[in-house]
Amino acid sequence: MNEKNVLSDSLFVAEIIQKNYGNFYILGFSLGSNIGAYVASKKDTLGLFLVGSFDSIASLAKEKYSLNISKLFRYKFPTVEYVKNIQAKTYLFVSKSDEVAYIQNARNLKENVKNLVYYEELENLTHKEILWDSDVIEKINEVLVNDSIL
Amino acid sequence: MIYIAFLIFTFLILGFAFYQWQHFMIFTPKYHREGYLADNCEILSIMSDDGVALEGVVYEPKEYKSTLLYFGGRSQDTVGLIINSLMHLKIQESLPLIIVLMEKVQVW
Repeated sequence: MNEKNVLSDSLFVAEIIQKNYGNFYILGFSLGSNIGAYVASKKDTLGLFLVGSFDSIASLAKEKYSLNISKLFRYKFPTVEYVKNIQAKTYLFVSKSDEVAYIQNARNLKENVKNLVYYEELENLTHKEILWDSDVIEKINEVLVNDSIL
Repeated sequence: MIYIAFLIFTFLILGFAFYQWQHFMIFTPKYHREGYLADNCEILSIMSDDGVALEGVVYEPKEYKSTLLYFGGRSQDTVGLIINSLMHLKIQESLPLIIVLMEKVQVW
């Protein structure tokens, strides 16, 4: 199991979902947002929700330890590269108090999203708390409801 | 000279340990296949070409308007999250969803 396999398998899953259920949205949380962004960069999706996301693992380590040790990293998970090629509407939810995905990393990711239609920096939410925050859920539901009416 | 050799050996061991540790740090799948899932939930299992079982769960109500594919975080019990997901995402009763949660499980 490695990064390459995870990404290719996720694409495989997405194809099965599309075949059986039609077009879909993607919701990615934390490291899962990297997988979601990769799938969205390769396949047409209705929308992409990224929650607690960051630009890359190497950048996270740089932010945390103030050292550029990316060459020592076995896995890169460069979400920042994938979001540059995503055509789908992208919604990004991050927290200023996230102790895992730092706000600086999220802001760097934001600067590179090709089709960013919504960005929210939430207050006082830890990494785990942000996923089911009422503001996040409300926005996701709003998008899904409005799109289904159109 | 022996000290330099010892230092090099130590750093090599540490480097190797760090390299291996990253695998366990990133890939720590958890799942509760036997745990209770909400109504209309079904375990999804797909075998990929590289011998890895892709484990997930599908929530499929009788009528739905949207499909949402969810990818969880590292070491997150993604399948177990389905109940929590449903509690939150079913706020809009008029919009039932299909939620697919995937995580990877190594097949030994």
